[in-house]
Amino acid sequence: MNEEMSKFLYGRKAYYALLSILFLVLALSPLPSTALCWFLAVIAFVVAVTELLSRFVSRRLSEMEIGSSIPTEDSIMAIPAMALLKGFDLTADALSGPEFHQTEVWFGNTAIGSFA
Amino acid sequence: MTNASDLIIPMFGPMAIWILVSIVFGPFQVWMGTSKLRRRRKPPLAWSECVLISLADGNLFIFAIGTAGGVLAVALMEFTRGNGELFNFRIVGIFLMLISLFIIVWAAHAWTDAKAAHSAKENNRGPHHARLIHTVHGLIDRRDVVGSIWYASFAFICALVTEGLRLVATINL
Repeated sequence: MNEEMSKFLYGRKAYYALLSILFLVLALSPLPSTALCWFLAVIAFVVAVTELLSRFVSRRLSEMEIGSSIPTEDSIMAIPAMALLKGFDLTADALSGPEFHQTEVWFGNTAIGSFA
Repeated sequence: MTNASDLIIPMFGPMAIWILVSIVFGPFQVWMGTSKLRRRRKPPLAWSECVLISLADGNLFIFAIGTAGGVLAVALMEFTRGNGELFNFRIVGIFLMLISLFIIVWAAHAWTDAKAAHSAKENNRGPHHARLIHTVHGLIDRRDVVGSIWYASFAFICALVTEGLRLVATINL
């Protein structure tokens, strides 16, 4: 997909554009004014919570390092991992992903891993 | 003669049960997931980090798809039966149908794309860059986590409007 289009679709701009259309639609519909005010108040509250949450998550995720490390030669998982890579015709940098590391740690810490 | 309120009031019981179940089992599900993750990491991560990783797994895209699907189902039901508040406030009902379709399509696309894209290093986006073994179980990147929050929030607002219209009719506001 086009990068600019993707930025728009998954960013704030699309969200606020849709909200503007929703406000317009609610204003044009024959809703009682009290109900309309309640709708607007609740939507404003949800938008404020969303804005705070997205800023907080964005800041925290940028601070967090979701770890990745390439297994060393003496690692117990090195031999099966290399065999797997060869089987799938992949290169060694496929092992640098966080979930591979996570699986490796899990195997190292469990009875199944020790048995294998 | 049956009026709209007689049709809407019986739905509040099941809805209350659904909200109660969500309140209890939603956090429980997050707790179960994060417990597994904590056990696999040495030293164990903080709970807040586990919840953030749960968000980075793309769960809010799935929440958005499910919620928008519910809104679409209610709107379609009311339009085919020719009764109900989304049918009476037609402009709102049509908007909710269109927007829930938009959310379902784009959140589904984003979820799979984000899963695949983050597997590729150095900000190469697009599933054609992804490593085979990382595509399904990988986390999504930071920009997509924020996007998933926006999508979930808008789907939630659509559900609030749907139920709000029923409430307006029930209490004759």
